[in-house]
Order: sequence, then C-alpha cells, then structure tokens
Amino acid sequence: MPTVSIRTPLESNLPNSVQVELDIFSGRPNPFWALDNTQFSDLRERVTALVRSPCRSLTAALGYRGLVVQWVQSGQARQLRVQRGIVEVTTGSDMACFEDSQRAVERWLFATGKPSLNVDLVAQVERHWQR
Amino acid sequence: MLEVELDIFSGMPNPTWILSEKEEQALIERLDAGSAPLADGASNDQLGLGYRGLIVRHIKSDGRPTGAHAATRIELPHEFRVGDTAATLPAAQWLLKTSEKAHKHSQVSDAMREIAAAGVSLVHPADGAADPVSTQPADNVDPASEFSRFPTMPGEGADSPDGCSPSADMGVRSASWWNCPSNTFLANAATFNRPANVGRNNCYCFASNHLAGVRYALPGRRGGRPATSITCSGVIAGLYADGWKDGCQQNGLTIVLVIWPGQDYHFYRLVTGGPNWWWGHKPGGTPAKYTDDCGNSLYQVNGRGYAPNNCCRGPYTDFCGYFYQNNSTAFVA
Repeated sequence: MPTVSIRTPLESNLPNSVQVELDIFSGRPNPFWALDNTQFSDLRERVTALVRSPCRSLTAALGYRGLVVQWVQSGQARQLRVQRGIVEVTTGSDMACFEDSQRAVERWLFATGKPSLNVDLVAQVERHWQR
Repeated sequence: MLEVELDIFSGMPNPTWILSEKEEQALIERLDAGSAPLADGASNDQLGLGYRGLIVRHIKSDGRPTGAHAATRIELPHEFRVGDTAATLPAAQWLLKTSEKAHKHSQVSDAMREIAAAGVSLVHPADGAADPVSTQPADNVDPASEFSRFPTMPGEGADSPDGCSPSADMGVRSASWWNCPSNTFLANAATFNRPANVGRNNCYCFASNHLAGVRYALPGRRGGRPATSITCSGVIAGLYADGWKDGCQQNGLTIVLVIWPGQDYHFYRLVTGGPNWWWGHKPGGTPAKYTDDCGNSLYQVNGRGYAPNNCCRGPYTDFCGYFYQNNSTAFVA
C-alpha cells in the first residue's frame, strides 16, 4: 500500500457516525462502540499533533491487536488503526503513519470504550500494555 | 430469489436487500445487454477498504426453475460481483437504486451511496505468510538452534512427531493425530490472505479450509446447533454439529480447538505431514500464518519444536483437543 503525504490526517468536518473496534478476538465478533462528536474532535486534535513516522507491519497476534476506528468523511471510507505506538490512517488506497509516543492515543481511545467492556477484556489489554 | 449486498464495511455487517421478481428480470436483461463476464463474489484480489461493489447471490429457490432466468441467454452464477469492472458498472448503479425503496429497509444511507458513486477502492496485496511447502524449512533451519529457546516444553498431549515415542498424555482428546493414514494437507495461507479474503474469513474458516466469506463463523451454526458457551464443551458440541469427529477421517483435515475462557475460540490446522508437521492458523481478520505468538515456526522435527499444544497462544489457555473431518464435507457458517 503506498504512503502519501497527508497533512491533515483527520478532516475537521464531523462524520455521521464513528465506530471503534477493539481488535482482540479470533473467532467471535470484536467489541464495538461509538465516538460522539466531541470525542471525534478530541481524537482529531490528538492525531494532528503526532509526528509522522514510517509505516511498519502491524501485529497479527492472538489477543489484543489494537483499536480500529472507521468512519466516512467527504464521501470516503476512512480507517485509523492504532497499535504498538503507531497510528495508521487509511483513506482509500492511501496510508499515513504517525508516532504514538507513550501510546497516548491508544490509551485515550481505549478509555472511551472501557466502561462498556467486561473486566476480563480490560485486564487483558492492560496486561498487554505492561509487557 | 436474489439478495444484493453493498460490500462496503470491514467489521460491521454490510447492508443487504432483496430484489423483486420484476427487478430480477430487469437485472438479468441489463447484464445480458452488457454481455459482461460475471466475477465470482470474492474473486477480485485488488479490492480493499471501502466500497467494493455489489454482491448478488441466490438465497432461496423461488419455485421458478424454468422462469425468468432460464428465459434469457444469460445464466447467473450462484453469487457474483458487479460494479468492480467498467463492464458491470451500469448494472451496479442501477442495482444500488433499488435499495432506495423504503419498504426494502436496506439501511443504505446517502453517505454510502456517495461513497459508491466514487467507485471501488483498490489496494495492493497484503503481506503473505511464509509457505512451509515452498520454503522447505527442514533444509535451511537448524532444529537445535531453532528450538534452543524453548527446547523441551511439553504442553498438552505432547511428544510424537517424530520422536518415535507414543504420546505421554493420551488424556488429551484424540491426541494421536500423527497416525492418521489419510489426510488432506493444504498449506494455503496465501489463499486466505488475499485482500478479498483476509478480512472476510476467521480462524474457523481457515481451519475448515472453507473460504466462506463469513467474518465470524461459529462452530455449530452450519450444523444447526451453534455453540452457546465459550468453553471447551460448548464449542466442541458445535464442532460435532458441523460434522467434526474425534478420530481420523478419510482425506481428513486435522484441527485443534483452543479457548480463551469465557471470551473466544481459536483454531489451528495441520497443513503438512511428516517429517515437519507444520500447523497454520488465522487470528480473526488478520493474515493466516505458520508462526505462533512468540514468532516461533509451528513445526516439529524429531520430536522437538512447536505445535498448538506447546506454542505461545496468548490468552487462549484452554487446550480442547484434536478434531477431524473429511475435507470435502468441512464447511462453516
């Protein structure tokens, strides 16, 4: 997949709906939750403040594999995947990556859905971060 | 009866709607007029995130076996894709309009129509996993070095390939998998890792060697008794309903079930025979691979190495045993 220069990784207009997926299961459906407009704006600010980074292969391990955000903006499906200190933003066939220092975006994004997750899943993710 | 699926989402279910008899006939006439070859529903390797066209499939015999379809020159495949080629674009644009009728409850929004109007999204192929057949691991890997970090971990039902000793733990369900006389071995991770397949088939699809296009295939759903609890016994009941057995089968696939207690299930499939006995697996919508969660290659030589019973499995701590089914009858839903 080619990488491109995406100066503004997330546009400022608000999408109708934003879904966050906790990528953690192998067989069963992953847990989903929604971001509201305020949370999406917050996400946009956090990602815009990140420094560009080379993209790298994402893990395909068993258990926690990061978070995936999906939405539609300006008529295009968008995806943001955050994992192991990298934020990967995909628009169509274009991709840009950013350094998520201290996993700040990942932790914040996870916190937006934490109340809806069962304690075992929360523990699994937090154990993963302690490694 | 034809169902149309707007192929646009990755994790969430795509919107679908049913065509009326009149619309079916109109579609056939449009396809016939274009004389375009119809692509298999999942055949385009270059389709990626976002709009990927419309999938049309027969979902039910409607008592018109010699009716509308047979009256035309075109014969519809069971499932096909339109909108991913220039030839089928007009038919796709017309089909999408059929979703607008309120009584169809298609859940296709204006935003989705806007995306579809921009055309299909294409990507480059994803990274594939190593192929144990083509890489011939036994020729270029020194087992003593490869296994030095993890040399003697026994695991559940360990021993064997080909350590020339019987299993020390026959308490594990159907543990003597290496003795089956008739097997189907397919190291076909690359097939499941094509862009059109990787996000649409889970661990159970890969284990069953069935490109079902079912992102969340569940043991027992195909057999009419879906697993109701995420325990070994609960998921095994689903496997039995789907035709899996405890003992060797003719042209058999050999799979292993492991459980993340109360949360999820995962499968491994034996993809080659001796002397290497490679295993493969596919974590959710990510690529199938022949390595475990610690990066170890999943094969064994001379009784040493890694297999599902002793490899790194993350949170999937419960080992439920080995299951077998003829490759020709192993299907998922």
